[in-house]
Amino acid sequence: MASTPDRSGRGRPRPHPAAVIIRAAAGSLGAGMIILPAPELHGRSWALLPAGLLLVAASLAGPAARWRAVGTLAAGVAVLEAALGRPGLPGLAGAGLLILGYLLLVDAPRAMTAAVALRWLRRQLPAAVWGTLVAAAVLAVLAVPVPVSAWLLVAGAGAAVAATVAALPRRPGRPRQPR
Amino acid sequence: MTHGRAAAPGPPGPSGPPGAPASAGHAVAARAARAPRGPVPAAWQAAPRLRRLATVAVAVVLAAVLTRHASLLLLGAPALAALAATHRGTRPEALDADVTAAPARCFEGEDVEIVATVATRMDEVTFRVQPGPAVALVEGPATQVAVAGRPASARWVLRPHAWGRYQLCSVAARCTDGMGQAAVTLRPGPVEVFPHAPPARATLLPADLLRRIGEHTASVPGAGIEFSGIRGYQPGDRLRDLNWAVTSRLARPHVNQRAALRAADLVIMIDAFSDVGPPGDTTLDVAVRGAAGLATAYLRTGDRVGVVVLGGVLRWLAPAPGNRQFFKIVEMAFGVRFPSEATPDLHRVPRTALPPRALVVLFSPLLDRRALNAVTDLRQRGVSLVIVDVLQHEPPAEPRLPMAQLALRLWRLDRGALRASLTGLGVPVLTWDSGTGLEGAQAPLRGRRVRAVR
Repeated sequence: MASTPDRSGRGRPRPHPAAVIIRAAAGSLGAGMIILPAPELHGRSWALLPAGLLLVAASLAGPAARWRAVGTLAAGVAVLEAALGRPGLPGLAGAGLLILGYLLLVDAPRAMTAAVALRWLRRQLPAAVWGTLVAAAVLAVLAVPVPVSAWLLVAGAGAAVAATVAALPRRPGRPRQPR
Repeated sequence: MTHGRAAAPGPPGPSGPPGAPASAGHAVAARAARAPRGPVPAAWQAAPRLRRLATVAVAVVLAAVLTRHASLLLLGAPALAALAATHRGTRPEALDADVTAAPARCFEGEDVEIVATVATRMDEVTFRVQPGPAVALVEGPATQVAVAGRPASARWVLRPHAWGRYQLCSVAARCTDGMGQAAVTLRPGPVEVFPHAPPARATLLPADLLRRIGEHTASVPGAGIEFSGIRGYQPGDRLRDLNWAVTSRLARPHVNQRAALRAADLVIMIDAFSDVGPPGDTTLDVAVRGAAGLATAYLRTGDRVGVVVLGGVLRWLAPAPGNRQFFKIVEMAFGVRFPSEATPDLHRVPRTALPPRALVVLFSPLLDRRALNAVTDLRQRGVSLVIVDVLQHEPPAEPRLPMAQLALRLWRLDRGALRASLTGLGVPVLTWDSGTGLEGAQAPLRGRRVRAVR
């Protein structure tokens, strides 16, 4: 199960091609999440663009890559860009998906062979699929103009209560006593 | 466990006494050094991905509230959905994890296989091996990842370059399961690494050999094979010993005389007061390797070899013959690495451990005054003594600093004076470069007997 290639551990270890590809993909997604909201920036907020790109690069290679906070900061810069630039709904949805993809891939272990990398990527699929579905749903909800209605408010509150009840931990039931 | 090359017990060749592994190697090679097995307690915390996604989601919500733009929630919706899609994980209080090192005994420079296993089902396990000092990673990348494996395992091959009984490595295992992550450190059991014995010959001999039959040529006549002289025939002499040339010239029967073959007692002293140098090549490492080489050579010729360790509590092993003695000596040497301020009292060494007419070879870097005092004490007891200087490295001196260079020159002069004074006292001091065999170091005393000087 483990990635155990028989290669010498002497000298500086060379990263496996699969890990390099995943790192490159993470870099592309990270650059995309920083660049996508950039056209809407004004004035000094343009400084966020190089800062974000630098953080993305630092989170993937170099000594700073060991600190996990660097990747989170890069995603935070993307959020700040979007908050300042206020792109349109498709742009926001795209940036959100790019942020999700970047956050999923930036956590990839560095020492993976091709087989292990494929298995690892397969395990990330549910999160990516759910993220895409929810983004599409929220995009649809925000795109459709909804009139103000008391019924909608009541339905929303009811859904919130139902979700809370469903999420609360339940007391384990007692097993039945044998007769 | 049996593990290919690492488990090969075979004879250590020049590094070990002949046939020695038959008593120790075969019995132990199949064994694996294993730490006491049991569940490893795990402290679970939020996985880094969980923290990242949650941080981004909170940042988005804050941005949406502060800017009063609900559309910004689109940024965080995928992250929240990914969070919701992640399963919580089992988070067991203890992990069924284990690490083994096989074989449990080896010589320096031989391979040892390390296998780490996490039997508890996890989403992802990242193993990272951290070899100890003077241990090289020979095979397998240092970091290995197992995804959704049961059991998750990783394998490395390490090569120790320093003798001793120690843990070759530690393995850090980071287990991720759902939203939780736990880091555990696995340590294999200690491995006994025997010193690589350099090639040596039993040529250092005291002036007076024992009366026991051995393989060394004595100065007294006997039933050996070395020619020692000619004398007149006496009743009882064997006819085959007649020297016909002398007999015909002198017209009287003469016989060849042969030297007796006697055994010797060797007592190896190891100066453990000081231990300087890089890991794996310290003065103590070199001293024990030299001791192993000499012990191998003398045991091979049927002599008795003992050991006295100077450092801390005085420990000794009475001279004895046989291959088992080699392993006894080495196992005693395993315990010499600890600092101590105690000065040994050589009078406490019993007569059996330091028998009369034994040759004492002291492996010492000649750095500690207590070791030099021990040399003086041995001289006063009338022991045949040879010192092997095991200091390999000079003190570091910055080449640009004239004072440092001056200090280094003074240090060299001091060392030279010390060696000259010891030689003047009748104690030969041999210099040994551990990169070569001991035979070269023994060369200045070849054909000479070491006399006891008082």
